Amino acid sequence: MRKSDFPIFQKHKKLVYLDTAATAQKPEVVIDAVEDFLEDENAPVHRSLYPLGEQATEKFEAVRGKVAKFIHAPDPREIIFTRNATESLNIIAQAFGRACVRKGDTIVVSRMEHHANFVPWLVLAKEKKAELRIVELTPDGHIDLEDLRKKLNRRTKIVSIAHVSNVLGTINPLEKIRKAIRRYGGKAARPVFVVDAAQSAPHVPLSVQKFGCDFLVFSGHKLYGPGVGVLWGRREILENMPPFLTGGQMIREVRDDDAVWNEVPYKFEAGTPDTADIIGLGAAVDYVSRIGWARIIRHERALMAVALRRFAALERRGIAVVYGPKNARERCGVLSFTIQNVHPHDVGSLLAEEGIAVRASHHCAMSLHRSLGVNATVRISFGLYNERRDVDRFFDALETRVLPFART
Amino acid sequence: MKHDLYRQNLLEDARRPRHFGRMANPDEVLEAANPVCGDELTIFLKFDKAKRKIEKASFDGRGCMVMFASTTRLLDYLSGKSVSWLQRLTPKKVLAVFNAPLTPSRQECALMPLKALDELKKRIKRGGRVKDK
Repeated sequence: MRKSDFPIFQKHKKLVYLDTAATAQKPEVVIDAVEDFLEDENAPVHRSLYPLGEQATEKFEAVRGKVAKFIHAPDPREIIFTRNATESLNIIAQAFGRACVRKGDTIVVSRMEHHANFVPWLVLAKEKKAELRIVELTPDGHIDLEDLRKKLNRRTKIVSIAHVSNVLGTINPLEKIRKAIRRYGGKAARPVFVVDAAQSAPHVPLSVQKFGCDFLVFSGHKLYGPGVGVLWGRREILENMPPFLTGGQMIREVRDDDAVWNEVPYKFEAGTPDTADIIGLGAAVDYVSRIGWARIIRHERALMAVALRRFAALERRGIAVVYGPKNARERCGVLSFTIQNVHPHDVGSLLAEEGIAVRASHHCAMSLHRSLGVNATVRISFGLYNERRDVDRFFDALETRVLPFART
Repeated sequence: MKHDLYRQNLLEDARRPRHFGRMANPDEVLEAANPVCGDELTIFLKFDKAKRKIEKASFDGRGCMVMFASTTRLLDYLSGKSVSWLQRLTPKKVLAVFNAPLTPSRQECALMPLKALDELKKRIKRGGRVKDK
């Protein structure tokens, strides 16, 4: 992996891009895959009898297989293509949640969830007069497993947790969480375990079999791919779930008074898909898989360790506060911080003037920020194209442009 | 294009703002907040006896440098201005008073004082009046 794999850095030579958690830059192979498909192979999928169409269908379904392998899912038919993780979570809440949640049931999420994995459950709970329970965090930004046990009960129908926090970077112990759900959640109707892997997919290997989850979602655009999303669900659940969007492709038969749904996954893929971008997602999965998790993790951990070390020095000077685990092994991808006496917007703008791209906001996690006692933080996040030099330039700019304002 | 936002006296106006402080007996206490970033602003206004002209203006709150500087600069203008001047105050004018290059994402910060004044402006437009304290 090299910065030169990514064309955007040819165009913007001075750009220090530290906002991969918002969206990842795309390697040439992904851009080429999309372009090539549109230029040379574009045709409808699943319906055509002519060679171009059959070829497009084959390529499309091959991506389904690739993604299944990427998340260690047993069956490609459990992979549904959506627009992004937000849409995937909304589909679970609406199609599955609406059918199975009743008045008095509980839905459990954590304090660190992104709004995409909070608001759909909030809306569902209100609609069904169910209770939304929020598992609190430990002071160093981990899920409080003791609190999780307390919040689970016999009426728990859905537990939805992020694999990795997009603010704290915390890597959550999904297997421990699943064990707790089995032990303390409803026995008769086993609670369904949803994993939001939007932030983790680019940084750590996923295995739905290891996690023991029932649903998993992620976004292609964070995985160095185009803007398509994935929803994985266990086959039995998907087969019994009502569809979300209805229309063409998701039916087997349509009569005047009734319709028969198509089989999974097509039941959940109404209308014409964004084929070109799905092909691009396949190329992104290939790109990441070719590099290999050992290299990716080693690369990012090294950058994170440098960042944590330099921030620790700023914390000792009383200038900065870093949120989330202090240990580089317990976190990945992101680091959120505040600077004493300097508003996050000002930190972000000052860094932007030096060509450094960071994110300053609540990062779609207002609930988490309230519990941290701040309204907004500044976040840096790493991608495959980041180098040690990027981290150094970030800290130089922080020191020269931002810290002068930190002294009152 | 380098935005010299922070080099144009922004620091001065943000760190040592003019008109900063709660007012003793204001006629109007107008609030605005931006939940996205936590900025909070209160503008205090005192009018003349006829309630037609602003006699005094001050502000309190917490927020980013852009919000502080913009509010300071706008309040430089407020004293002595009529209610009808207030009604004619637009986002474009507020940004012109701010007079520093702003990316679209920071414009909301600069327009916070206008957001606070909007409550009074809407009330007057509906036929209401300046409050009598």
